[in-house]
Amino acid sequence: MTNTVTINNQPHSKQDADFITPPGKIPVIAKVLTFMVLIVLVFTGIANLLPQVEGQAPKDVEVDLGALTMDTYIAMGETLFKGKGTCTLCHNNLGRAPDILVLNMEEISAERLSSEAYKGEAKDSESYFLESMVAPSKYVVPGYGKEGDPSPMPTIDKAPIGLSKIELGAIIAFLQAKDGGEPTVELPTDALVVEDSSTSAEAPQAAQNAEEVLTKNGCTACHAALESTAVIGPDLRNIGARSSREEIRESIINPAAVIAEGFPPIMPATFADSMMVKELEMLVDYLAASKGDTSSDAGSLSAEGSLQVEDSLQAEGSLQAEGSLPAEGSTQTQAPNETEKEGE
Amino acid sequence: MSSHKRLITDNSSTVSGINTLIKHAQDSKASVMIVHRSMQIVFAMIIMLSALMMVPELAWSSDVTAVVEGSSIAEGSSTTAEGSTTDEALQNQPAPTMGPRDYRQIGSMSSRSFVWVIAQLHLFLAAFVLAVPLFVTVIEWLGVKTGDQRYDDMAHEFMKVSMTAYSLTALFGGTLAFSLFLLYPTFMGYMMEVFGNQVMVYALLFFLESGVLYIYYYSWYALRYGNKKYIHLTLGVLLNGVGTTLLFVANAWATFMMAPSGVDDAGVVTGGIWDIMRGPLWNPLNLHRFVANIAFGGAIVGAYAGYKMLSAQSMAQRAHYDWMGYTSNFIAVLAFLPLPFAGYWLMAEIYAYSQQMGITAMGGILAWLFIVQAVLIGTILLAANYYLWNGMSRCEGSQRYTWLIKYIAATLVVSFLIWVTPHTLILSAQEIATLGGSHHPLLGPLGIMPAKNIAVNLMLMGTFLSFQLYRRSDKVITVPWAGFGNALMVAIYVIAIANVIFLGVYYGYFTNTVYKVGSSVAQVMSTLIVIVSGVVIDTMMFKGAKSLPVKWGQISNRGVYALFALPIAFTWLMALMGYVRSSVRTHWHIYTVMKDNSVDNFIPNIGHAGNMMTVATISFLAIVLFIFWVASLGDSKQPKPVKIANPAE
Amino acid sequence: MKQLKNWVLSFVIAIAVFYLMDHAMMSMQGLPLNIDMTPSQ
Repeated sequence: MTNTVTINNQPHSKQDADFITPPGKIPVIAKVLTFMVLIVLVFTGIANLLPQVEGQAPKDVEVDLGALTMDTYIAMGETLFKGKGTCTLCHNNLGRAPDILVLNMEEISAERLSSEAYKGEAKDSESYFLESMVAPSKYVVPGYGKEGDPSPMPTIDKAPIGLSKIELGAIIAFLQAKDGGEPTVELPTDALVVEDSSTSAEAPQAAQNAEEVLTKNGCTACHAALESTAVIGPDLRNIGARSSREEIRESIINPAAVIAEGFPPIMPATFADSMMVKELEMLVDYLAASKGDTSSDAGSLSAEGSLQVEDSLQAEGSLQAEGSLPAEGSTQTQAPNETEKEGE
Repeated sequence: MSSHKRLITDNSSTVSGINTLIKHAQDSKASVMIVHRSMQIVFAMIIMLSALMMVPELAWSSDVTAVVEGSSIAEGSSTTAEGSTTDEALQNQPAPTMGPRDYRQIGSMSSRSFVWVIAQLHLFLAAFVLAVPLFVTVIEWLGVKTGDQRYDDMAHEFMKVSMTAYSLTALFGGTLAFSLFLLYPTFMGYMMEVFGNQVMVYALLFFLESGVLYIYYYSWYALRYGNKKYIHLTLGVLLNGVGTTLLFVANAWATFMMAPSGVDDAGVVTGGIWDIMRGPLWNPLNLHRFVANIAFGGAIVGAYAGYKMLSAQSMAQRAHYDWMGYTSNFIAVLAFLPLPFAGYWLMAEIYAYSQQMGITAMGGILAWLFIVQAVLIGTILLAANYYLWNGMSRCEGSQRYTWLIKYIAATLVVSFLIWVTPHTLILSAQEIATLGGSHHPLLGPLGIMPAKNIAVNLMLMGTFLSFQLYRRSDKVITVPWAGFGNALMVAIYVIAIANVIFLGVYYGYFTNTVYKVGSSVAQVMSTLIVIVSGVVIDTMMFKGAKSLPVKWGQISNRGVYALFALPIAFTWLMALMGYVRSSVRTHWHIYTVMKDNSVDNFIPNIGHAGNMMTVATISFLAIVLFIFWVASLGDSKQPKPVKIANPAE
Repeated sequence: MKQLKNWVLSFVIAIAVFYLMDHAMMSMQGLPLNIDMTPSQ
């Protein structure tokens, strides 16, 4: 750049000449680059001087419920309150939400429950704390939130915080005990998995296998499956012979989409919410593989000449062996039963 | 054309009369050619416009399929929508749970780091190439309006710089897409399932963008004067229309990951493509990125002009690039001033969507990053002001205002220091004990939001004042109501400053939280009123104003270095804020719907993040150097070799 | 005299604009103010 030929030669005044970089010195590009890199290094330096904290994602931790005492349960609640529950983000001394750690929550809940402004359903401090966490808009403490708007507090048992019942219990125990009160919460007894630290969504009681999913969700109350021979809903023991994986999945997530003939449209549509994805996949795999020879006069779910080729397996979610997976749905479309459907 | 030329050259040795005749013929033929040319261009535009009209068609088509299926089910007909059952089944799948098999790695390189840098480079380049045509079209229009040829030349030079960047943007975009599909196949599979045909709309728009961009750039001299210039300007508007749409379409992917809409809790698609795209954060992000791109693009071309100016070998060249640098800085600062408000809107929507997400960003683990942000924005504002103050030396009329500069400088520095005072932060137990609480006993009140809001608004008003003074420095106002106009401007500044301080102090420290938060909106409005009324009053007062001579090029070299501080701070800031925006999802790929179970699902410490941003920024700097170098290659011509006796020479 | 009138008028306008703006901004967010700017909730 120093040997550029100047064509547009205007006579320079002496003052003007001062501005022109004389050749032979350090090239402009070097100076400019050094300047820019130095600025970048200052920014990088500041970032490296600040406290270095990593935000770890939750990890599965096995809790031995046999060894759980009320004291450790309370301690677990405190850890959850300050960690995974992220409660202290708002419940602190900055006025965003009531400063729970400073206030005597036992006394305060009694006051609130007896106040006329209280419209919730809680009767004692235990149910009040639970209600505040799972239905925060039921009662918003005066001075917080906006008139008419729902509470700014997230629902604690939903994603992204997603505490389990046992974890909610631990927090209640902690809130009751922290000012010298006696916890009324019962100690949990089932073996379970609790996730540690910060945030998490998965409910810890993931069923271990499809049979457990069936029992847990009360499927056998209406459907014939496992030990049950109920006839309120279609037989599930041979569902795999009549319906494809996609149809089965659809019928669980959105039961009203296709109603098998001869059955009332009464299946709850809540399983999509209550079931974990993992559980759903296990169940679908299990049912699709259920081609049992038990003849049934139950109507078929099938329809639409299924052309599905896709079946998205969640390998890690499935406990089924690869071999037990059903063949493509299309082979099952010619079920012996009529394949009529009704609208919702 | 070439054969025609040869004809002329062949005949050039014949009698001059014939020569003139042929020349005439060539001229008329050339003008016919140019008319022909502009018809071609108009035709190309029409084709592209009609292609653009197809875009919504394509985007909606998946909705339409869904509707058809819905109705067929409702009617109870079992076989109608046979062909689309696959679609329906696909749309009814919940988001997959991620396991180790859903992630891949290139060697031992962290997938996150790899994608981080590639995505960041793509975004830097994309922001640059989308922004440049925006202000180029405006400058081109200014050239038409004022009849000043310099604007047109400058606009063309800006475009030239961004042309190389365009293909690099596409290259990095392709690399990013490939690396995402390679490293995060399941995640990308789910995203494709959710967005469906929309990604093809994006691809189509990219074709259109390329077509319009090339026509716009290469027809610059073919359509330069008279009515043809308006065809060219229309092309510019079209180009920006396509570019902005492209940006908005891509933004939907990012906002869907932050605040998914159109899907249920399990990630099953429940809505059409518009429900998916129109999430709560889409529009705030659209606005924020749109404005930020302009500021970023302005800063980059400012560095180009600054460099050209410093290495200029003649005063005329120096003057040209000084003016170019000034214009770039003007664009960057003007776009930068409303940016905090767009950011405020985005943050407010984040809080409205999920209080927790907002606090994670502002008060949780990411909060320290806002200290770095304060340093960066402070750097930008101080550099911009420093440049304006130095630039005042170009005009003697500025001496009327120089006394004010020290007060503006003092306000800026004090506000800056208040702003970098740490806010709510995660402290270790020991740190809390040392401080005697989660706030510093003396600095504590300065560390919370009301004080920072006052500081930010004062800094913005100070910068705008510098800017206003600069604009006034080469003018003598002649309108009869000048006295009232000036008084009104002063009154607006005084009352606005008083109002911002009053709102911050009174509602921030003496009422409840809700009023504290609410008052910051009124603070922001105060600053906006100052900016808008300043622009309006000045525009009216400058009518018929007498201009004082401006000596372009007469700015100290030190002042010009502000033009290099600006883009580097912008680039690093963009990397930082992009990182914050992305990190508020914590350990979720798609917040509340798809969990991140990869080895990189933690939020890294600030030092690591800062180093990544530096890697991206330095790489970008190298790429920009390459772009500028390539642009300058076109200017240099090898002289025709003359017979030389000594070949060694 | 004209100077003084200019200044007084300017400040009256500015104060009125910002006062009304504060009220408007706050009540738009459902946070009305009293005449003396104290919160009315």
